[in-house]
Formats: sequence, C-alpha cells, structure tokens
Amino acid sequence: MKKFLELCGFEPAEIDAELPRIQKVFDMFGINQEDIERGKDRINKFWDPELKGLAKIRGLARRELVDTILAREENKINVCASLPSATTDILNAASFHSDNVRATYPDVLVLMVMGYLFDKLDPILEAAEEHFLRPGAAQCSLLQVRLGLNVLGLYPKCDLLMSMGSLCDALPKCDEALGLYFNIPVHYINCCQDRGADWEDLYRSKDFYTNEIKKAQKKVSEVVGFEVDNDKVNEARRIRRDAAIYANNIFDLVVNSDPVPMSAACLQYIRIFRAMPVGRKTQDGLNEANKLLFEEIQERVNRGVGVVEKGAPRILYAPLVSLADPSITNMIEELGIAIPLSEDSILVPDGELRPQMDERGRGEDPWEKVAYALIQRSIEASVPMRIRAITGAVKRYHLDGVLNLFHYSCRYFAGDPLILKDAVEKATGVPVMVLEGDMYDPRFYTAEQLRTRVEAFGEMLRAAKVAHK
Amino acid sequence: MQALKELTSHMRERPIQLRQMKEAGTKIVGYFVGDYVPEEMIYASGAVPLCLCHGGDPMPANVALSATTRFLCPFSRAQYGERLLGEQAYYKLVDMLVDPITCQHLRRAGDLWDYYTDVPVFRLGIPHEYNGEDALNYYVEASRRLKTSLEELTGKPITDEALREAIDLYNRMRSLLKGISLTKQKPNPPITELEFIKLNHASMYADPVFMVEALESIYQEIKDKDGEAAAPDVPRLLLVSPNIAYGDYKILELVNEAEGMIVAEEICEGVRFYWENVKGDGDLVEAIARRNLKERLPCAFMRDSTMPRLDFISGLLKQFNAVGVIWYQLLYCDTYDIESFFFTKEMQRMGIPVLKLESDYDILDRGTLRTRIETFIETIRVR
Ligand code: SF4
Ligand code: SF4
Repeated sequence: MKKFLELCGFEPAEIDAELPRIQKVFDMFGINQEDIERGKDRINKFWDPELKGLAKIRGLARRELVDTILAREENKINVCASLPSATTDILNAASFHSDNVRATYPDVLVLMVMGYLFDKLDPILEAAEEHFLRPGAAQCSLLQVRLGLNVLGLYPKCDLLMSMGSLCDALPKCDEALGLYFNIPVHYINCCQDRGADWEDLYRSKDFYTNEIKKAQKKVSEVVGFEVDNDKVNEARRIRRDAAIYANNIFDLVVNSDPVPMSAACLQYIRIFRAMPVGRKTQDGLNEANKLLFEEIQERVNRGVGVVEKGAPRILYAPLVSLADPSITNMIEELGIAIPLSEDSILVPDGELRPQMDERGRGEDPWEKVAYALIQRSIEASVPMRIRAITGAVKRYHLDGVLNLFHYSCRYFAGDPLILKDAVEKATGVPVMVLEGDMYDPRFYTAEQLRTRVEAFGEMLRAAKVAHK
Repeated sequence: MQALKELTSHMRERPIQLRQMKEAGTKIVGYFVGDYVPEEMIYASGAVPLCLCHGGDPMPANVALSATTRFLCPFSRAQYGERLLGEQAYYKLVDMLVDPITCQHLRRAGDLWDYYTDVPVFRLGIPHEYNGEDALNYYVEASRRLKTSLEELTGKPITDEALREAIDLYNRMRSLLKGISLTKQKPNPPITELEFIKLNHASMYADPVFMVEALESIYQEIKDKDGEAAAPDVPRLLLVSPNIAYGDYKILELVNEAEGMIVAEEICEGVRFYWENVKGDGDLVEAIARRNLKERLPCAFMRDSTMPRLDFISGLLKQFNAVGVIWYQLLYCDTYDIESFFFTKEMQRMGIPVLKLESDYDILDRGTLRTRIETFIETIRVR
C-alpha cells in the first residue's frame, strides 16, 4: 500500500498520517491487494509515471475521495453536485469559507479513483442495475454510478444534492428518484435547450441560466447556514486561480505542440479537476501540482518528447474523454493517432478555447459570466452551433480528423452523431469517425473491440495526410 | 353512429383537403406531441395545426436510423422517418415545424428535421419545471416568439379576437373529449378505450370545427347509454404510458382480445390531454402557457413530477374503478423507465397489480406481449 501511495505522489510523512483514513475508505470499497497491484500496473500503463505533477494530482484525487466519503461520519455539512460545473464557484466558496462544509462531485471522484485507477466499478454498476436503473434500457452509466453508491451506502451523507438539469432529463429524474428513495433533498438547476443557429439565442439562455445559478447560491446559503455571498465567491476564485491558469497553459501547450506531449486521458483528469469544487487542502495541492506539471510538460515540449511520434495525425475527440476508463484513448494513441483536443474544451462560435465576453454577455454580474461561458461550450450547444464549433476547431488547430465516441446511453449525445459526421465532413473535408461507446462503464465497449475500426481510421488519416502533402 | 361515419369519411378526405388548402396558400404547421405547443395560436394565425403523432409501425422508426442512432425511442425516430419515407401525407405537407423542447428524444427529432429537410423548425422553449414562475415567464416569452414567427409565416397578425375564438374552440374540444372519456366510468361503458383513443387521435389531424361538431354528436349519443354488458369478472384496467401513437394500437387490441377492459388512460404524448382547459381573459398567450405548463399534469421529464403523477393516477384508478395498471413504455424512454420502478412499488403497496410492457415497434414482440397480457388478466381475474 505504501508503495502504491508513493506512486500517487504522497510524501512519507503524509502516508503515515493519512494511511488509516485511506485504508478505511479502501475497505469500504472492497479494495484488496489484488486491486492495488492492478492499480500499480494501470499507473505504469496509463499514467505517464515519470510526470511528478501528475502523480501529485492522482494523490489529490485519492485524498478528495477519502475526505468526501468520510464526511458521512465526520459530521460535516455535505453538498453534492455534478457536472456541468455551474455550481463550482458557489460550492468552493462555501467549503473554502468553512471547514465544516464539504462540497464536491462524489460520483466523479469515484470514477476517477475506482474507475480510472482500479477498474473496479462493476459492483457499483451492478448495484444500480438491481435498483431503478436496470440493464438493457440504455440507462446512463454515470447515473448508475451515483445510484449504485447510494444503494451500497457509499454515497456521502448528503444535505443537499444540486441536480444539473441543463443537459439531459435522465440526470434530474435520477436525482428526483434518489430523493424519494434515500431521502436526499434535491435542488435543480435548469436551462432550456431551445437554442438554434443564432447567437441571439445564447443571450436568452444565459439570462435564464444566470437566474437558476443565483437561486442555487441562495439554496446553498440556506443549507450551509451562512451567506455564500459574492465576496466569498471572489475569494474562492482567487484561491483557485493558479490551478486554473496552469491548467489553461497546459491545454495551450498540448494543442499547439507536435508531438503531443501528454495523453488525452491524463489531460482529462486535469480538465475535470479544473471544473469541479474541491476541499481547501486539495485546492492548495492542485495549485502546486498544476504548476509543476506545466513545467514538466514545457520541458517535454522543449525536448520534442511526445506520447505519439512527431507528425502523427491529430484528431479532435468528441464529446469528452472517459474518466472511468483510459484504455480506449490509450489504444488510439498506441495506434499512432494524437489527441491534442477534446470537444469539451472548445467553444462556440468557432472552436475557440476561451469564451467570448461581449457587451451583452459580460454585465456586472459574476454569475452572468459563468452562465455565458458554460452555454458557449460546444458540448452544451445546439446542433448547428456544435457543427460550427467543431468545424472551427478542425480548421483553427489544423486537425486531420474527428472521432466521435458517443455515450450510447446518453440521449443528449446519442441523437446527433450522424448529423455531426455529415456536416463536419462536408465543411472541413476531414474524415469523422463515429463509434458507439460508454464513457463510464467499461464492461461492454472495450478497447480491443474498437481497435479494428480505429486502425482503419488511422490508415485513412495517414493516407489523407500524405495526399495533402 | 352517424357522426362517427362522417368523421371517418372526413379523415379519409383530410389529406386531399389539406393539399388543396396548401395549394391555395394556407400554411400547414406541424408540431410534435405532448400538449406544450399552443395549437390555439396556430389555428388563430390562419394556418392549419397538425399534431404529428404517427407511430407503431417499425418501418419509419427504422429508416430514421440512416440519420440517427438506435438509442432514441422508436416514436421520436418515426417522427423523422415518416418525413423521410414520404408516404404519409401529413408529414409531407408541413410548411413549418414547431419542436417543443420536451424530452431529449423529441428534441433530436426536431434537429433531424432541421438538418435534413428544408422545413423551418421553431424550437419552442419549455423549461422542465412546471411549478416555477420563472419557468412560466420563459415559456410565455417563447410562446410570444412563436406568435411572431407564425405571423411572419402567414403574413397576418394574430388578433386577440381570433385567439379567443380558437381557445374557445379547443376548450370545447377538450371538454367533449373529457365528457366522452368519463362515460367509461360506467360499469358497461358505451365506448371502448380503443375507440376513444382513435377519436382523440383524429382530433390531432381533423379540421377542429368539424371535430368539435362530431364530438358533440357522439357525446350526445352516448352520454346516457350503456354499452354491452361485460362479464362480471372482466378486470377494469388503467393504461399508463408516455406515448400512444396514431397507429400504435397493439396493446389496446391485445387487452381486448384477452378480455380485459381498459377504462381510462394517463398518456403524456400521442393523445390530447383533455382534463384541463385554458382559463382567463387577460393576456391570452399567458393563459394558454399557464394551462400547458402549470395547470395540467406534468410529463415525467419535468422536475419533481413523480409524486403529482402518482397522485393523479391513483385518483384515476378510483374514479374509473380500475383494479390494475398496464404500464406501456417505448424502448429507451429513459425518464418513464426510471419512474416505472417507483410507481410499480407504490402501486403494489396500494394492492394494485402492474404489468410493465415495453415496445420497440417490433411486430415480432406481439406473441410475447399477448402471453404476458393474458397471464396478467387471468391473475387479476382469479384474485
Ligand atoms: S452522460 Fe448524458 S445521460 Fe448521462 S448524465 Fe450526462 S448528459 Fe445525462
Ligand atoms: S416515448 Fe418517452 S422518449 Fe419517446 S418521445 Fe415520448 S417521452 Fe420521449
């Protein structure tokens, strides 16, 4: 176990202090020696073990999970939420202000640790399938993780569940049912998806969404027992700033370098950590870890070192890279295809990495900016806007193709892959491959099963590149 | 029944009539089901409202797979598949489509029309919160934008007077359907559920003035009548479903064949929701929106809709003296699937047996469905 924790960037003193709590949580999840050995192998295979910054980030995920799970017995006020990250600022403001408040995305942490690292999600998914998210109905595996944790008594004590109703209906419906079965108070944050091809539509959505976020701010204040006012929010943003800046620097380096210096799966870890609320100690650690990682990546770029060879075809991976299973993107990279960018990083209108803050969107109100930035994300956009964003990104970053591995059990992402393929191929001339997959459940769609099609795609990309030259 | 005969002949002629109207310059506005699109407003604009609700046939759902994946429910796929096949007159006649942003599946059906056809699509924003004032305001504003779009389409303003008339007409239609439905409370209903649902479906495509007259005659004719005496042990059942499409009659037929009797339904889409009317005289756009969003039973995709839906269904069971529930859902209908688990348990707690059925519009599942329905009815009968 100690060796394993060292691989997770823990210092010896930290190991001694934290071991009992970590052991306790691992016991709750049934993590045994065999799992630990598997975890070590996976770190070596998927995690770029030589990057110390990344090792620290692995450790922070572990710490955050332990703190979150034990909040149940440590009698903290616990506010749980999920992606998209509309509530991140509010929740951070609350938890940074008071040690008595824990606020995070528990299911995402479980994916990051039990999925990505240990490949041990099966018992959780199976528990959900015995309850209201049955197998065979293409119910979303992300929600199955949330339900399974509740069924197994592993979900932290939850004083408030912030339910994100801005994308699908399955998530808020699942949370409503969790409220009914497990007595969890639920507060919804909605946004209406009536946007089309006009930028004007975004203003309308932004206003509604802003108001919803403000209502969430009020609700969190009620539950934590103090006002989570804008000053606290600004202070939380200040505390998070370094991690965010270095994360952005890393994204910029990766997308602009050839060879691509970091794997897509590891990059996704950083992206998710950037988006979710964490405890204060974790945040301080993250500020340092991202800085260290940026320096390491910069150094790799200077040396011309990459995870695929220089000149490899570069693709946009849509919609987002799995947090539960790195094996698929790893297989793609092994086949010599670089993934410098995923769709969840790009924005409308034309695939930019930073949001447009025009006069009507900026406003005085900090929440208006949050809402405006969120609805500019390609993955939250309407189909016509999404087409434009992906097309823009392909052109802007000189990409050779797009791979859309859609989450089969998500109505939000499973409806439009063929439209996107048709439109983006016509607009850019680069090939778009559509793969059916599962972002949170590694049981059915394995890397090996998908390998043959990806190989063919790689050949197509290389041939197109040669022809282009 | 003379009125029924006339309605049948009207429905036969309707596509031809609509084609002629279209050729003469009348606009045809198609919209998706769920009762969130203000059809009164479309009617008041001088356009013809057509609620597209065909389903049950595997072919249109399957041809849509050239444009989307199999994980949308077969009904929503069929809404694009019908247009693609081009065999169904109503789907071909549409000049503008109103896509209410209800469940993700129907939203995607609108996206398919938007991308693959030249029909303009209006996305009607419906916040999935039925009981909030902010949500209502948003929906009212969305309805006002629809009004403007309709005015642009037809080139004529929608006057308050025309809107008032349209509201009265549709209120009358809903009241008559309610009156007819309530006759099924009788021990020997004068109309079967299948007949009632077919009437309701006709109201989606028929000329509304003609439809109201037909419903009026039918109601007058049956309201004091009894149907054929049913055997005393025939179980009276309630049908709960997200969606019964025009043509998706297999469950109703199989229950009839198994000598069960469905006496009432709680169906979110496919049939017109007729329990509530539009009330109020002030701002008519708001009055319609208020009825559609706040005053009617929320569909399962709405936040916190489970308990009000359970209460409503429990009320129907009592009101219609039903002793069992057939829960019929379409494959991949995620929100109803989640709700079904809770609902079944709650019903069992109340001593009401529930049979959950699922369909992908595959004709091959008929045999299995028949066996399950027969067994269910038999079990209730011997209780
Ligand atoms: S992956 Fe899709 S279905 Fe699952 S919670 Fe997210 S948006 Fe909803
Ligand atoms: S049946 Fe379900 S999934 Fe299909 S359109 Fe209706 S509510 Fe949506």
